[in-house]
Amino acid sequence: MATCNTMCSLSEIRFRSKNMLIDKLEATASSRDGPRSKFIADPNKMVKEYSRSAADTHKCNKPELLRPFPVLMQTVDYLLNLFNGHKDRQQRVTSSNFSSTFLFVSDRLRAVRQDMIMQNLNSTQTITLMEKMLPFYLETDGVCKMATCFGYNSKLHDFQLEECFGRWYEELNASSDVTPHPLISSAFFFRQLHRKPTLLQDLYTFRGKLSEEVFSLTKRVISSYNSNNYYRFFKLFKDLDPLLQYSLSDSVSYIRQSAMRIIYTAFKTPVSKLPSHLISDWLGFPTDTIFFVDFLQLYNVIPDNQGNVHISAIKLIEILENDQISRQF
Amino acid sequence: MSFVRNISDYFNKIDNLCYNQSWESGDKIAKYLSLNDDHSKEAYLHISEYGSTSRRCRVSEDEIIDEIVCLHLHVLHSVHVAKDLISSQSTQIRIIQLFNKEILQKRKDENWFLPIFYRLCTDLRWLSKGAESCASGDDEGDSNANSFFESAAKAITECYRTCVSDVHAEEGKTKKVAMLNMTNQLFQIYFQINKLNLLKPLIRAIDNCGPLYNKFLMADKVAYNYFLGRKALFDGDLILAEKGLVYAFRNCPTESVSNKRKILVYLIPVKMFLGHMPTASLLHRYRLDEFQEVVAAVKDGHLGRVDNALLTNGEFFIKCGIYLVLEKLRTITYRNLFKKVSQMVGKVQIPLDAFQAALRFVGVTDVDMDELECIIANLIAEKKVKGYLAHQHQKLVISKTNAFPTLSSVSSN
Repeated sequence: MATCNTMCSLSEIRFRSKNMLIDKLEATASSRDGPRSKFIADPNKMVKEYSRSAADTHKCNKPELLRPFPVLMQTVDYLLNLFNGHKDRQQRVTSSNFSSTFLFVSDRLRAVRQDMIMQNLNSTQTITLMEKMLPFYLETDGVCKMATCFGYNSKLHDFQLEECFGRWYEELNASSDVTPHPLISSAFFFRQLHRKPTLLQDLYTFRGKLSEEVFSLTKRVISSYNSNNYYRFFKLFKDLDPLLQYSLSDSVSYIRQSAMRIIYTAFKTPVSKLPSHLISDWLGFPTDTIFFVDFLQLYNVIPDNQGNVHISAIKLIEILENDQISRQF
Repeated sequence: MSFVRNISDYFNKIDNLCYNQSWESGDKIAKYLSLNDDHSKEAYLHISEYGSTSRRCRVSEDEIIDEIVCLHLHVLHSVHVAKDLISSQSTQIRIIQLFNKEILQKRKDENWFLPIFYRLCTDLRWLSKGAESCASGDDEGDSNANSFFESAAKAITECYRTCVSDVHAEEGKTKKVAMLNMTNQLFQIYFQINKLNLLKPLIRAIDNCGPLYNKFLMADKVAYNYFLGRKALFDGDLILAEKGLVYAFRNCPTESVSNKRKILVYLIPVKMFLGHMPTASLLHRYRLDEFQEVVAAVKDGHLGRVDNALLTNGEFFIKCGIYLVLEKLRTITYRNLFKKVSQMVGKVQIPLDAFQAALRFVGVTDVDMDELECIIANLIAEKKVKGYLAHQHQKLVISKTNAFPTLSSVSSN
């Protein structure tokens, strides 16, 4: 039975205050501009931090330290409000402000999951919590792969995303009466698109839980990716919700690489050229050609004065896995 | 299976068979320990905790077999009386673990008991499937339903390790001959839980087993090649898929119509990708009429009909796990349609308009010129069409010779 009715227990507030472990986002307005050692805890902003529990599970499992479901919901809302307060997030990924909020929210959401697991919440509650926090992980995964964010660790982030999706999927399979969120459902499949050739088969197995509209859209995106139909893929991609676009970040990079290989093979003659705006459009780059020009440089190509790309000049290469340019949209 | 009169008769029969210690007697004992055999329905054999309530050592020839038989009776009770597949699955795992610890690991220079082991593994798979259905239908149950298959795979893998390390046994008595059967068991489990990547080391071990391969049973070889072919099909390795599935089809006994049909479900798409379309009579003979319309539509290059046929028989194709594969036949359908267009135009420079008109004719109305170029570019990149796209002139320029190479020659490149 969880009995902690605040985002952070009193004992943790005391412990962290004593040991100078207050985060800037938890400090009072008057103290947060000073050094960390002088931060004073604002009880309304303190949120339980994540701590490894393997060695002393019994300590973390005390009812007074565990937050019940309504408090966990309130905590997630509070954390997401903090993150959503960052306007123009995509442009400000590189700022230290974004980075510190990202790290704070990511850590505290992890603690929410820990509380959730400790008290063995039911399927509906688990799914509700996962669907609330997954958009944060999906969005930050997308934006931090397009620009350098100091606090972002792709492996750790990937692990957390997989953990959330894993629990969400497991609980959904275990309960017949919960309807999954349409965006989260599509994102679940899109995340795996580049690494699971049999994904369409899984989608059909999952069909009963999806509306016809969600099923059809997800299927069209998967089919266009699997058949290397880059034109249709990006046509669909442009109209997707930003969250789904972020979930396709890796696939965008991979299909662009395949597309460059296909275009090179199919259009190559000694004199052939294609307008760069046309290829940019086929590959779903923004109308502003800056990103596409950077992308072309990966292939050792610079458009000529008329803005044409000489196909025979393309040097096919393998793009690095963590490349940012090939993911821009 | 000979008639079993009562429990004493049942134990006596097993006891006598244990005395022989031959592969044939192993085969017969396997039937007495099977969940599928007639004996399993006899109520007098549905006994819970037999070993703890009655005098043990009814199979005096072999104490371990005696214990296994007692546990088997407990499984029969769980399945038929308690209707508890979850507990019967865990008891079956205990049987396998006991078999591994006391027989596979301790009895050197013997392998006559392997048929019994094969049967136990097959029943474990069957029980895991049943337990998984029970758990997924029960909201309060273990939410990770795959754990039954995973625990089964773990138990079988432990036995696999024991068998492959039996390198010093006398010729003809090595437990290594169980490798292929166990690989097949694991193949089936991993297909169920979609973890085919775990099979890589097992496949490599079979590839490198040398002369031992000839000692494997033909039934196991057929099954292995069938699974290998299926896996290769999903991995996109058509040549390996064809090799495995053709071997399985040719060596599967003619009278095993249902098994041959199972093989054909995967062999037909492979052959179609390689440009060989099955005849209507073959499809009919093996009750695979669901393919008839797909085959006819792909041959005609009629995309609209391909889509309709996939939709109409979608449930069957999904159940067989080949819907995804058949969807890829759209590429070949495009190729067949464009080949017809090029033959009609009769020139090496074909306006893209002609292809678009043909697409509209076969019911595809949502492909604009840019997407058409993308589709043709893919066909060229996959070497299904020899030529290049002239974007400025909006034409496809095809090779003067062999512009549409046979699909089998393309796939072998």
